[in-house]
Amino acid sequence: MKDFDLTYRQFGTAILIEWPQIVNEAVLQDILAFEKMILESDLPDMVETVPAFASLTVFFDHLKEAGKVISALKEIYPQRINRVMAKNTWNIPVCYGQGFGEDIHLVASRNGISHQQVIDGHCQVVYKVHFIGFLPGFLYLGGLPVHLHCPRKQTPGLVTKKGSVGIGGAQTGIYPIDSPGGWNIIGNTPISLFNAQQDPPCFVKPGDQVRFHPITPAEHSQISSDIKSGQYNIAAE
Amino acid sequence: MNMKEIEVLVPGIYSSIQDMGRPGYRAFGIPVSGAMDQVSPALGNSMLGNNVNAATLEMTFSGAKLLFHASASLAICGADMNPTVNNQPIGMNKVENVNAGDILAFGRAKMGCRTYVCIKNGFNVKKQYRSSSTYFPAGLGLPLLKKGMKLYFDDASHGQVPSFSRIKPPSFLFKSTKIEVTPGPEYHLLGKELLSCNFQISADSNRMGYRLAGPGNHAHSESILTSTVMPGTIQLPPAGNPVVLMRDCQTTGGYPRVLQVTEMGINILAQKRPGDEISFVMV
Repeated sequence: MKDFDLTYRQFGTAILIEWPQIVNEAVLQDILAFEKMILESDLPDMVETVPAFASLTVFFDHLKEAGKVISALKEIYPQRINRVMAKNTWNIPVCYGQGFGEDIHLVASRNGISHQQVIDGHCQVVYKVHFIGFLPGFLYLGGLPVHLHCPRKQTPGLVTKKGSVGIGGAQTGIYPIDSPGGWNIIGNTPISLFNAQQDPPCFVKPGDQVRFHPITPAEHSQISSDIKSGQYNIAAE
Repeated sequence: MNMKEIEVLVPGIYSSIQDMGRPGYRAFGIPVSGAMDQVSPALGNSMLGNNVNAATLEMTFSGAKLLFHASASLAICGADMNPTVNNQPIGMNKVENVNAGDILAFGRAKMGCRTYVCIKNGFNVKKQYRSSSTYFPAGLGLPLLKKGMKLYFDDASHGQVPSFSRIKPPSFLFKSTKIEVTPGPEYHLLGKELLSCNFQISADSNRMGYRLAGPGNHAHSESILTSTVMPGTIQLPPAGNPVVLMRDCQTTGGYPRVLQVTEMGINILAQKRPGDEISFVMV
C-alpha cells in the first residue's frame, strides 16, 4: 500500500490523524485500513475512533502522554494491510418530488435541467459512504454528479422530516431523524438509516456503497407499512 | 430491589436525566451527551456512595417540583435553586432524606445555571448504548421531564443513607470567568485573536452549543473538509461569532476548530448563563 504523508496531533483527549485534504477512494480505503489496525491494537485507554473525509480521530479515556501515543500510532500505520473489506451496495428507494421533495424544481431550474433529469442523475450514480456524522445515522456520501450541485438554503428550515433526501452544495444525503436543515429536499425514503432499538444502530458502514432508485407514492406507503410490521428487508447487492 | 416512584408535578426548564454520557458511538453520529457540568453530579453521587455514572436529574435555570411516593436519600448539587421539602428549606451538597408523600421543589437558580438531583442508587432508566442520558432528538433515554411523568429509582434495601457533614463544592465552578483552552486543529485561523477578547454568552445557547458575542471582527472565508468535533471544540463560522460545542454536540463539522476548551472548562461553562462574560486562557 502507498503510504500517505500523515500528520498527528493532540486534539482534546484525542489524537487527530490527518491525510492530505482531498476526498477520494484511496484516502477512504487507507483511513479504514488504518482504523481497523488501531481497533485491533492494544493501545491503552482507547475509547473509540471516528473517521471523516480525510481524517481519523482516536479518542482516549485519559491522554497524559500524547507523544508516546502518537509514536505508537505511527508504528501501527505501516502494518495496515490492504484487505478487501466486505462492502455492501445498498439500494435505497426514494419517492422524488410528488409532495416528498419540495425543492426538486429548484435544483432542476438552478442547473437548467428537467425534474426527470434530476431524478435520473441522482439514481445513475453509485455513491461511496465515507463516514457517518452530523446526526445519528447521517451518511456522508461521495459522488454527486456536478450537474446536480445546488447551494444550501440561506435560511435553514425549522424541521426537515426523517427520510428526506437532499442536496446541499456538492453533497447529497438522507436525514436520518427529524432535524432543522438547510438542504434542498428532492425526495423521501421510507427506510430508517438510524434505529435506536438496534446495536449497531446503522446498517450502513463507511466503505459501503449506496444507490437510489425511484418509487411511487403508493410504493413509499407500502414500504413504510411493511417496515412497521417487520416485513421489509432492505436489499444489498 | 424494589422500584420506587416519583411523580413530576412541575417539570422545570429543560430537565432531563443525565449520567456521564454515551461514549463509544460517535462513529454512528451519536453525540456523547451526559451531564453538562460533570463535577456537581459526581460530588452528589459520591456523597451517596453511588457509582460516579449513576443517573441524575439535570435542571436548567429553574427547577422542578417532585412528589415522592417512597422514601429516598438525595444529594442536591450544582446551582442553588432554593430547594425545599414540603416548603421547608433543605441543604445543598449534603445528604437529605425524604419520605413518601414529601414534595421536593425548586425555584430559580440564584447563581450558576444547572442543578443536579442525585438519588441513592441513581434514577432507574433503561440504558441505550450503555447510557441513561437523554438525547431527545434521536429518542435516546427518557423524554424531557413533563407534568405527570413518573421517574423511578431502586429502593435501597438497607434503608436511608446517614447524613454526613456538608461537602464544600469548588467555588471556581461558579466564580471563574477564565476558561482554559488548548489550541484547536485550525488554531492558525484566528485562534490567537480570540484569546485577547471578552465574550458574552448569547441567549441562543443550549446543551448542543453556546454562541458567543464579542468585540472585534473575526469574519473569515475559510472552511475545512468535514472532520471530527467534540464537546469543548470552539468553532468559528464565517460570520465570526465563535460557538463552543457542548455535551450534546454533533460528532463532525465543517467550520474551523480554532480552540479546544478543557474538560474543567466545559464544566465551568455549563454553570454560565446567557449574558455572562468569559474569556479564554491558554493552558
